[in-house]
Amino acid sequence: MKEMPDIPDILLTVRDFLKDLAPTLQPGAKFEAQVAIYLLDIARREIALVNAVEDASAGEAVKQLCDRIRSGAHDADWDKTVTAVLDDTIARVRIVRPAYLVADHAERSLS
Amino acid sequence: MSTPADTLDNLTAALRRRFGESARVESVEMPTLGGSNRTIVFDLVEGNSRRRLVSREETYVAPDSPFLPPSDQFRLMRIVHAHGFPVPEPIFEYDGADRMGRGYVSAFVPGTTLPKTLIHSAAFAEIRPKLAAQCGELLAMFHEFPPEDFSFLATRSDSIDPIEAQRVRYDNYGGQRPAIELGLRWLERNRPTPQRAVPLHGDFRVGNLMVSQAGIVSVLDWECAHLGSRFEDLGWLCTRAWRFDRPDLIVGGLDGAEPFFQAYERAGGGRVDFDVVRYWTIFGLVRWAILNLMQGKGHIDGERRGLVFAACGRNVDLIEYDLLMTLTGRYV
Repeated sequence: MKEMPDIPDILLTVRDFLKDLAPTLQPGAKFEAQVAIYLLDIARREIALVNAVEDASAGEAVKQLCDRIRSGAHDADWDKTVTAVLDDTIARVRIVRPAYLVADHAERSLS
Repeated sequence: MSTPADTLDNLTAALRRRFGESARVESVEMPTLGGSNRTIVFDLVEGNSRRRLVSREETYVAPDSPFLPPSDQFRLMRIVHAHGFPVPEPIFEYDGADRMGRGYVSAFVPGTTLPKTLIHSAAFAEIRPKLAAQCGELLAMFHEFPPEDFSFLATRSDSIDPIEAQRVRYDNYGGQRPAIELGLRWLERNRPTPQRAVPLHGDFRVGNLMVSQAGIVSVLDWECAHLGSRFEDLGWLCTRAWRFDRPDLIVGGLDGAEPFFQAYERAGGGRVDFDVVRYWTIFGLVRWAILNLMQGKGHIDGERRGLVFAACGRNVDLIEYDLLMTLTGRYV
């Protein structure tokens, strides 16, 4: 059975509380509250998307890719490699800050 | 950890050692900005005279720190100040007898450093069109200072090979980022013709420039200074991360390239090759991604936890996006 409210909802509730609170705070705390909102937004989107995003950063595959790029093994298929890494990066930016993406990368992002 | 009251007592004691027992500290402000330094702005009161000063102490000390030790920063500021370059006047350096960290006291220069204010505020509308040209003039002036005055920077890893220096840091911070690997590989394969080594500020960008209605009145934050190609400094100011919300204005979100490059050449900085500047903007994105990786690692390892450092860790994704979009030619 799905817990209600679910985690994204809980994070959203806390986020909205901080957003209301932020304007009443002193400058230093206000800035930190805004960063806290930013981090909660990242967590909320990541949880919502966790099944949709392949965790390409995990494990041996990434290490091998990094080693191959460094040794020059991907120089011959450079454009293809850059495109593949860009696709993975776009998936991460959809979680961190979807508004950062150009229009044709922003599709399917959560707000 | 010392409380603010302890810190003020220690600061007062440090001042009395140098300015006499009647010296007092008044009108104290401690800006709470994320970063690797603790800053205290205060008035030094001696009899009827009053001077606004800034204390800067290093708070993040790590063996793999990419930053110049405060003693070298102080030495550098004294040299450039003696050459007539706009830098806060260095007053004194803390020593072992002070109960302060490693750091120094300099003059306070009024103005603003805030990028949003400089890029958008109506109060700076008149001065804004002149800022890019002034950046060019200041960098040309600095790059032409006698390199022998800065020979103590020659052993910095950034002076020896800036790309290798970044790669070593990246590996120390955990590595395993294919986008950064691609950036480093591209930099390796596209190295420009070596240039004569000149002194570099290393972090010359909007945010580190104190600006008043008279223009740029002081250049701050000397902790990344080293020796290298003049185009490295030009490229850092033009790096996409430093254009803030005006990526179309490549010089710090302030202006297009022409006024900046022309002023640099007119002021004796040598001919500007835009392709080489572009190379260093890609270096700038790689470097900025690695600096954010450092902040994120400090948070994850528990060396210094905090909201801002946690956010920096995730910002690496955004910088990698800029890097890859630039490598594929979609971003300039």
